[in-house]
Amino acid sequence: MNNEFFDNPEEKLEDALAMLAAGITINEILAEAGSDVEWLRSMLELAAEVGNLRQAIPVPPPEASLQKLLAYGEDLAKTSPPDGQSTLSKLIKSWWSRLFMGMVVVIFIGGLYILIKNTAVNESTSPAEIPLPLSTATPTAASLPIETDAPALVPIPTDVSDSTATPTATPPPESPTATSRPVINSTSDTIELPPTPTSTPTATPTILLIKPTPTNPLPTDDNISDGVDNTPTPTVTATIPLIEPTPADNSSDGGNDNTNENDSNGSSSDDNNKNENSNDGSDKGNSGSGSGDEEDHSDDNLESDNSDSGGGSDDKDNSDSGSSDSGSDSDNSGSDSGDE
Amino acid sequence: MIQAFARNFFAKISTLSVTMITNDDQLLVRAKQLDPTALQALHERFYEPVARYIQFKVGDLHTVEDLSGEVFVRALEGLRRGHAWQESPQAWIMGIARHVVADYYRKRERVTEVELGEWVTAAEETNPSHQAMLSERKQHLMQAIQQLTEDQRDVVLLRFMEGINIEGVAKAINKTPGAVKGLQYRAMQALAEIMRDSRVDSTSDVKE
Repeated sequence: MNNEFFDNPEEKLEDALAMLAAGITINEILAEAGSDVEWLRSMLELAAEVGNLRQAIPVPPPEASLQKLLAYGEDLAKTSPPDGQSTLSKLIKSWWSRLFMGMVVVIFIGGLYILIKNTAVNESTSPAEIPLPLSTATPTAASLPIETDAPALVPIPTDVSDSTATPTATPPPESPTATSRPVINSTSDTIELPPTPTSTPTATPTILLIKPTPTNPLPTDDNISDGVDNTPTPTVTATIPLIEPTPADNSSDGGNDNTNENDSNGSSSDDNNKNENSNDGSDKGNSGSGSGDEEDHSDDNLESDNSDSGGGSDDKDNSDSGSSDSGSDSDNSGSDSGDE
Repeated sequence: MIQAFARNFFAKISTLSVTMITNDDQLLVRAKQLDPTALQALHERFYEPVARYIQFKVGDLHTVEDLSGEVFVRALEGLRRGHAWQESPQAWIMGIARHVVADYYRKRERVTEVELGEWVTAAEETNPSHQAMLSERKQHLMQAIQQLTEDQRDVVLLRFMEGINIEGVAKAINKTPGAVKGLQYRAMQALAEIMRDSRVDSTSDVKE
C-alpha cells in the first residue's frame, strides 16, 4: 500500500478508497496498511455499507419529472428561435454588426474632422469669401461699442437713399449682417474702422443706418424697387449669394429694425443682449411710431426666418426686441425730436 | 510483442474513455438543442442519482418528484445559457440538485429536515420489499448519516453512494478537493463513532 508515502490520514483514506473503487478487496488493502489498520478498516467498511445503501433508498417513478422536463423543453422550443442559430453564429453576427457600426462612426467623425479643418483653414485665409464665418464674425461686430458709432451715423441719412436699397438688393441668405456691409462701406468715411477683414462685419453697427430719421425720405415700395434696380450692390455682394429681396421689409421703420434684429439673430445670446441695447438706442433715433414698430416685427420675424438659421431662438429674440422697442417708444419721442 | 500489446491496450482504453466522454457531451449538446429524445436520455441517465440524493435529504416522495423535475429544468436552463459542465456531467447535475434542495429548505424557512422515521415509513409505503431489505444495521447507518453536518453528509452521499470522485464532489459542493478530502475523513470518523455508540447502546438495551 502507498500509506508509507502519506503522512496525512485524509490522503491515506482517499488512497484506500481509490483502491477499493478499483476492485481491490478490503483485506488486500489492509494487509499493507501497517499501523493504520484499525481506523482504516472501520472507515472502509462504513464506506462499503454506505455504498450498499443506494439500493435501499426508494426512488419515486420518473414519469412526473420527465413530463415536467419535456414540457419545459417544448415551451423553450416555442419561444426560442430554432437551433440553427447557434451561439457562435449570433456572436459572429453581433460582431459584424458592431464592426459595421464602428466603421460608420469612424467615417462620420473623420468626415466631420476634415470638414471642420477645411473650414478653419478657409477662415484663416480668406474669411470674407466664406459665407459661414460671416455669421460667426458678427459677434465681434456686435462687441464694438455701438454707442460710439451711433453719433457717427447721424450724417448717414444723406447716404441712406443710396444704401437703403442695399438690404433689399442683397440680403444674404444666412447672415443678415451682410446687409450692413454695403452700408459700412458707404459710411467708412465717417466711421473709422480697422481695415482688417474682421472689421468688415464690425460695420454692422451701421445697422443704425437703417434707422431712418424723419429727415430721411423713407422709400416707398416703388422707390425701393427703383432703388434696387439703380443701386449696385457693394463689393461684398459679389461673394455672397443673392436672395430675392422682400420689398415690404424696407418700406417702413421696421425695415430698419430688421437689420438690427437680424444682427442679433446671427449672434449669440450675449450678443443679442447687446444688440437689443443697440435697438434701444436706435429707437431713440427712430421716430416715435411704436405701433408701427410692433407691426413691423412680424415682418421681421418673417425675414429672419428667411435669412437666419437660428430657428425658434430667433423668434424669441425678435419678440424680445419688439417688446423693448414698444416700451421705449414713448420715452424715445423726445430724443427723436432731438435727433431730428 | 509485449510492447505492441501494451500499446494496443492503452489505445483501446483511451479510445473508450474518450467515447464515453463524447457520449455524455453529445447528450448534453443535443439536450441543449431541445431535442426531446436527448432530453429523455438525459433524464434517464441522471434521474436515479438525483432522486436518490433528494430522497435522502428530503424524504417525501412527492417532494422528491417535484424537486427532481426542478433539477432537470434548471439543468436545461443552464445549458441554454451556456453554463456547462466541467469534466463530470454527473457532478454538475448533482451540484444543481444540491442547490435545489437548499432552496427548498430555504423556502420552508429551515423546517426541520425529515425525520428518518418518516423517511423509512415513506420508503416502506412506497415499496414494502424495502422493509425486508433495511436491516437494523442499515437503519442505524442512515440515522448516523443524518446526524452529520450538511457538508459531511453531501460528501458521504456523493462520494460513497453515487461514486463521484473527489474532483466531482468538489465541483458539486463548491469546495476544493483538499477540503473534500478533509470533510470525507471527518465524516467517516464521525460515522464510525456514531455507529460504535449505537452498537454499544443496542447491546446495553439487550442486556437490560
